[in-house]
Amino acid sequence: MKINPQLFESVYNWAQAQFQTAVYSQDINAAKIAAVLIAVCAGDENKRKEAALKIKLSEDAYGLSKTNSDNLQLDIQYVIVYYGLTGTWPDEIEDMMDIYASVAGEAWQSSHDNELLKAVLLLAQLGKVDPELIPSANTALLFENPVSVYLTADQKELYKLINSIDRYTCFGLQEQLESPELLIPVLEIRLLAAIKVYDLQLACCLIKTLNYLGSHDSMVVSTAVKFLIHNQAAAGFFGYYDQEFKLMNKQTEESKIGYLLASTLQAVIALKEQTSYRFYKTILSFPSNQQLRYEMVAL
Amino acid sequence: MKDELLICIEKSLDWIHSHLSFFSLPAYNLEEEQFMDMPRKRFGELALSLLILTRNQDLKNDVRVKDIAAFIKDTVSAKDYDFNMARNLNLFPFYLMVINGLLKEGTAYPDHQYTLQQIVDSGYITNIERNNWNKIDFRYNLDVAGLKHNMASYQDLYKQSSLCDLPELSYLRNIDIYAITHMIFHLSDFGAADMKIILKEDYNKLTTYMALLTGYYAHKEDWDLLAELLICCHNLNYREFPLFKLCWEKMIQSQNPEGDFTSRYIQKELKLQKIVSQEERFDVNYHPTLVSLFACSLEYNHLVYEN
Repeated sequence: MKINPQLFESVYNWAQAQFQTAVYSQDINAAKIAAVLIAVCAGDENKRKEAALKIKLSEDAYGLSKTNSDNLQLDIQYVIVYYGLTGTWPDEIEDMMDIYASVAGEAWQSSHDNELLKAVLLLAQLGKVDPELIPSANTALLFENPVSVYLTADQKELYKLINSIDRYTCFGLQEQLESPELLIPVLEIRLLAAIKVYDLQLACCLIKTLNYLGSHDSMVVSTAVKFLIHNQAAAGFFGYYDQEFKLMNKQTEESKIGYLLASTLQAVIALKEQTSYRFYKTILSFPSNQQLRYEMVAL
Repeated sequence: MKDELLICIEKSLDWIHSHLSFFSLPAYNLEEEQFMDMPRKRFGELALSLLILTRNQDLKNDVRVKDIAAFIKDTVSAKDYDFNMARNLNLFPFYLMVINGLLKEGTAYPDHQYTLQQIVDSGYITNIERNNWNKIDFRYNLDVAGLKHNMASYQDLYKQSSLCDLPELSYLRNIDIYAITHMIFHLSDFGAADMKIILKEDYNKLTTYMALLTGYYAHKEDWDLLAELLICCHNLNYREFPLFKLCWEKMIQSQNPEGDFTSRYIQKELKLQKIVSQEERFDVNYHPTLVSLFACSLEYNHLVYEN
């Protein structure tokens, strides 16, 4: 399904405004997610330059990279964005990434956990881990239950299944894998069910996972992608969460923004990954650092 | 799957047979305007079951099916059954449904048919506003009863329906799906007519759509809509989707030991082992039980006689 580039432009503009607000209010999580959104959605040279300038100025003034969020991966993603956009490391950060890479790489070798794999893949984008550590899909895809059980399994079990597929396909880096009979049809039904209960987070996960398994143009996936697109607000973010905000007692704009940023990033990644783009391969899908370093001289 | 279907049919028939008195009609109430209320809807649907069950010779001769037919005939022969038939047109669809079930069972009521034809001829009942779902259902029932009418062709009705221009899956409500399933039931004469003649190049899109809905309602454990969708799979002669067998297994396994199927309306209560009165249980469970019986009976016929 073709996605109108204007959709990403609209997210870019919204994320720019959120980045600015979050930086001033020292909301580290929000600022870093907004930065990632900006980088993922910057669709042309001008936007990339504009984003690079803005992020560099904020980094110089507030040192975002030195303040950890509550999420290690997000901290690494921000560094990737900064490095990718400006072609330089934030001050004193490269050593920290080396330490992360060493710890994450070691931990990944002893425990095959999805979060560790994500960290390894992200650090690989910074050239900080041995590419040998990235698994190739030569292991069997094993589940705790027969596939048919997942048609009605609860969400916890479903997420376990999604995690094992994501690990098996290395978040879409390994393609053309064989999947057990019924797996795709069952996941497609769960995707339809996620949409029907407005669980956009689960829907985005399933769109991506199905894509990794090679299912990206079926009737359900097309329906889900269309549904996601139709749930972009005029301001640019994804998801109409009035109901959820009321239940979570999030009535102020500030309390809503983190949720909207995270939801929008999920949606943008799910939509971008409908193409050959892979978030865990290269967050930024534009020119190499060499070229960027050259351009930064002019900044 | 044949054996499992047969056991399911047996248990459903037992349950319906043992609950026949719950299908009774109240007396005609002159004090209030009479509509197609729940008791009439239930009775009409019971009569309609004859239309499907009698397609199988074994079931046609089954003592429980004969009892169901006798129960309906007793009610139809009762003194005030046709009271005001010619004047209260709210009840026209009800009388039509009952006549059709009995006709297929082999019993005609020429006086009733005559009255209904008079009503049709008066130029009111076929000319009032209806959505396409209701038009298709209505036309089907007129045709089964052998009544002459001026309604549009099935092809034209199909072209203007949601079945032809399928609504987006993400927003579908249960009621939209009932509309789709009922149109398929009637356009295909419950599988006796080849839907491809009407659907033409739309067949593949519709079957993919129906396969997804069938899987979705198996996931939802909504036995009423799952049964309706499995009837549609039969009616469309479409079984070549990966979850077909799993959906049938889910359906069959969900049957209660007593023979009924639990309605979505009391599923929570029963899971929490809350006490539900016999009347309340019948009120909501009769429909999933009837449609499951239709689904099992049609699929059983397909496996045994059509293969």
